[in-house]
Amino acid sequence: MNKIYKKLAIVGEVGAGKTQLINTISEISPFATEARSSVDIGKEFTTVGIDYGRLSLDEDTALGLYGLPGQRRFSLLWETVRQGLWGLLILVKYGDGLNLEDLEHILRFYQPHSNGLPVVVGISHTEDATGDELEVLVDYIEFTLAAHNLVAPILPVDPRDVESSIMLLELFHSLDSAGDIFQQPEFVEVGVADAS
Amino acid sequence: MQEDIIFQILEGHQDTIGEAIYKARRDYQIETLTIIANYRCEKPVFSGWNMRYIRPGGHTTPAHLERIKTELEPHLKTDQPAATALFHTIFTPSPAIVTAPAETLPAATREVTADAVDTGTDTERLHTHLLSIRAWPKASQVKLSSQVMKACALMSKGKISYQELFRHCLWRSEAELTEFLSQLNHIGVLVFAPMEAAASSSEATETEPVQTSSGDRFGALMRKFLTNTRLRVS
Repeated sequence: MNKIYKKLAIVGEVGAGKTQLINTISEISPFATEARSSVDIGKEFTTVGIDYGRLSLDEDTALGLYGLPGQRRFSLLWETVRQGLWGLLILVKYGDGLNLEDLEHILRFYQPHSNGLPVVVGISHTEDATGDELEVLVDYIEFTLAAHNLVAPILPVDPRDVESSIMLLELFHSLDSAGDIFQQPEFVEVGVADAS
Repeated sequence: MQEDIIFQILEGHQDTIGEAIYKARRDYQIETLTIIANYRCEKPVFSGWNMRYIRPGGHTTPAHLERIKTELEPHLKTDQPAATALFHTIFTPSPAIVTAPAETLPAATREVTADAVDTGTDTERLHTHLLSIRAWPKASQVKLSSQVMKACALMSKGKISYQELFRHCLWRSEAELTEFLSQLNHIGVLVFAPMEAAASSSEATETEPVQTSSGDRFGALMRKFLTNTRLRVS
């Protein structure tokens, strides 16, 4: 039987919770490239490269979990996971102000719409957010996604929480399955291409 | 302004523009909002222009329109048929520029929000139109159950009929699906599109069985993993 290996890219800014999320989902101890932070970012260690975790679905099938820094200067790292992507999870840290430029760069780089790549946006650290504040943030992200022809789920996540993390995988699974359904011959004539 | 279309150019910092768009999208007077071009410029392109009324048929009208058209055309979102169609609807198309058949132009703008469809009851409309969503419902609006995720995933990928939604999303009853769709309608994210396109699909020749691919196997195993994990967690 052929081995199947797919990748989930988890891209986000410093402190968004990439390492924690991988820690929660991965069956192996994540290979983290953490270093002591030289500036005050609210925690002692931060990721300076790729975090890696894995989820084996059977002995021949696995999902690789790749935590990648969200800043544009790390786009060389983004390139390393581009092939075989199952999904793109963008983690946004609530409270630091949304960096639309980074979000733009990530979307321009991966071009999810053209590549049929499922996207989910998770907002972390929302414990102290009011409903209104969160709604405005979601609207901003929604607007940015719409500019890239994307209609994607945007939801609060708690990377420490198993249920919350599993829900992200379930969303990707739903989006992936939906893509497969629309590729079936009965749907081809409907003109899925102009869903925008 | 042309008929019921208002065309607007916004220049400024992206956050400011984002805020303006956000407000416009929430304006109950605006039925649909389409961004036909979105690009970065180092200095204001329309600096010195104020709001003005251009009278149809006025002698300055063609020059103004031509300038705006010339400025925007290279930046058109060519990968969005709706945006391109709208652009050509607003500006009198030049035969040299329009590549799509003219009769296809209004079609892209024919999609309307649920509120704008004024024929039939809500339930009838669900059955007589193809359905899609303009945005996922927020977590505060709808609980993301498995069925909701599947349905939203399908409607975010393309237009789908009520029957197909019911078939693929494993709803326990039609009443549940109808209630969910009504909820999306109420939130304002549900989009109705005419059903003609579906006719061609139903007339399509026999569908080939879908080949079992590595994607299917991956999907099946992922589903199994999610089900087992959910059981363990709960």
